[in-house]
Amino acid sequence: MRKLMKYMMLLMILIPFIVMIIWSVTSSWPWPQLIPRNFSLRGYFYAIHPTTKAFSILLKSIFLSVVVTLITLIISIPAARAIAFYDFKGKSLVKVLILMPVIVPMLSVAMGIHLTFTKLGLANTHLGVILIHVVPGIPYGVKILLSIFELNGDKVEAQARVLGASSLQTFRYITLPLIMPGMVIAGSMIYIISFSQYFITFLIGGGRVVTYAMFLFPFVQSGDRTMASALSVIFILSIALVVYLSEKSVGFFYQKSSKYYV
Amino acid sequence: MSKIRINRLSKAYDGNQVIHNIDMEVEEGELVVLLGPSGSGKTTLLHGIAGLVHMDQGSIYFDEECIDQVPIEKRNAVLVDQSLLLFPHMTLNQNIGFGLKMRGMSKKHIDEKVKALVALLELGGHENKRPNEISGGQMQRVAIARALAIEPRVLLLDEPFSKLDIVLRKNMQKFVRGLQKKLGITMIMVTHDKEEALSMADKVAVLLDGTIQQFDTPDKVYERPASRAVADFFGMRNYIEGYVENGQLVTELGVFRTHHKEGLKLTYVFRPEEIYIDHEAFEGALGVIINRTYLGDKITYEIACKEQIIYHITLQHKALKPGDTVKVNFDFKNAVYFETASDNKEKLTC
Repeated sequence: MRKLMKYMMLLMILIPFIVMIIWSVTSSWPWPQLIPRNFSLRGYFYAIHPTTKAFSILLKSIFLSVVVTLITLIISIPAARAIAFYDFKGKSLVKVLILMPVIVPMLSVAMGIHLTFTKLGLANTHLGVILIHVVPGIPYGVKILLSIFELNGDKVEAQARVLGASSLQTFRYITLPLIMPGMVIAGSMIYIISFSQYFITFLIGGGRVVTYAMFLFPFVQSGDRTMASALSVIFILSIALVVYLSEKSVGFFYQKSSKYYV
Repeated sequence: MSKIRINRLSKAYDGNQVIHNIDMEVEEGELVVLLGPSGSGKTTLLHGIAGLVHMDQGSIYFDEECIDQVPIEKRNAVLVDQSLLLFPHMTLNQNIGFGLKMRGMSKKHIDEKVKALVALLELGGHENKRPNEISGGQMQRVAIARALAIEPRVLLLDEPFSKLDIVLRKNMQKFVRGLQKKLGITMIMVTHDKEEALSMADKVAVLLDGTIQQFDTPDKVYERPASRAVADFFGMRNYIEGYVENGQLVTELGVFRTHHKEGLKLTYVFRPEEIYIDHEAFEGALGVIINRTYLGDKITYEIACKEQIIYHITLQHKALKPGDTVKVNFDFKNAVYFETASDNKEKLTC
């Protein structure tokens, strides 16, 4: 019974995905055919054909989300560390405020920020889009790293100081490797969130900054299922690839045994 | 290695005085144990020397050089914490060489030094393992090797053996003491384990409620406690109060011979093993055994004498059982006593 449940669950998750993969290589799939009869790689050709820009937009989008991820992590590390180890006035308020982007709809946040960005000249720019993407990522970055900091404590860092490491050396040789598992998880989350943003990119980018999610959207809306599915498969695979590579590269960089890192 | 001098050190947390006006001197190559119950401020004092805690008042000197303003990483006072705090993402070699690497030593120099320490602390064959792959005793030795690598001016140990099982603990105590003597390390160790303190230390500082109550050699501290608080801490549970009249000590338990001056009020302290009980003796205070606990190598008795309960520990397996009547005798001649004069001193000692 438990086994059955397990497979059912797995199936429920996989079915939409399988349908999407089938659609991506099908030219037409009318009812009542259980399995489509006409196949075509039109969607994938479109995606890699140079004139459509799909591939270059994908690369640009990956680059943009990577930059967003790095910025968000750089902000999150000191924030999480401060909340974990220091007592300061208004600490609980800060904790609540950090969760705000999750609680308050991004839509209303972005609306307000849009006005400010227009004044600052950040609207319709890549920098503006990057900055607005940081906002929904912060809660995940800070919360995940906070729990890692709380788990590790600051005693190991103190030990490094006692042994003669300066604060910079302590961060480089002790803190960073110790929070790396959390960085990978938080980074993946932030990357996926940024990569999937549609509306706030559209609002702040003003249609001039085109990310892959924005490129994909018209196909989904217009009902070209073959195209939409093919591009969605690439969407998902690109995320999986980036997350996989980041995990691998971190493991390689720090030469971690599987025991210690993820 | 350095001589350490601590001058009127005080520290309070949230208005709570943790340590108060502490003066202490540790000679070069000496092992001093800070002994006290938990919450007595011993770890705070140790952290203060390492620089991890900023002191409210007072100064610390290494070789007469004030180090109050020296940052943690420049103090060369290495702390070995009770949870050891090995770096989990590094091999043993990397752990031991960490301090040298931070000082920018050449790889060759680090390798040589680490190799020597691995040999000294009997860690051969484990160099490339990670801390989670070795035993508790080995982790202990790695922590000590890592501390020794940078040739610290003083080695600070905070309850280093508390997490080891009893056999390993005894071995490590011997090992560390041997190492300390061999290398002439100035060492300050914190513990709440009296036996550990007495067996390892050159000098014991008894820390109670944030002040040093007695700072002396282990035998002096144990046999001649400076105050009732110290005596209490060492588990000398039998106190007999009395006064001198007509050349005799008058107590609740009876009248005993004494050489003290007339009119003195005294409190005698007896450790449980310094009491003599016998059911056939002529002299002594009459008592009834109310409890007997068998501890394997020794037996403890609780004896009701008048209003007081006397505690007794013996190695002899005498056939005494609860309900038996015995005569209790005390060796007043060699016993520790505190004068409870009529002034305020009474409060201090009793």
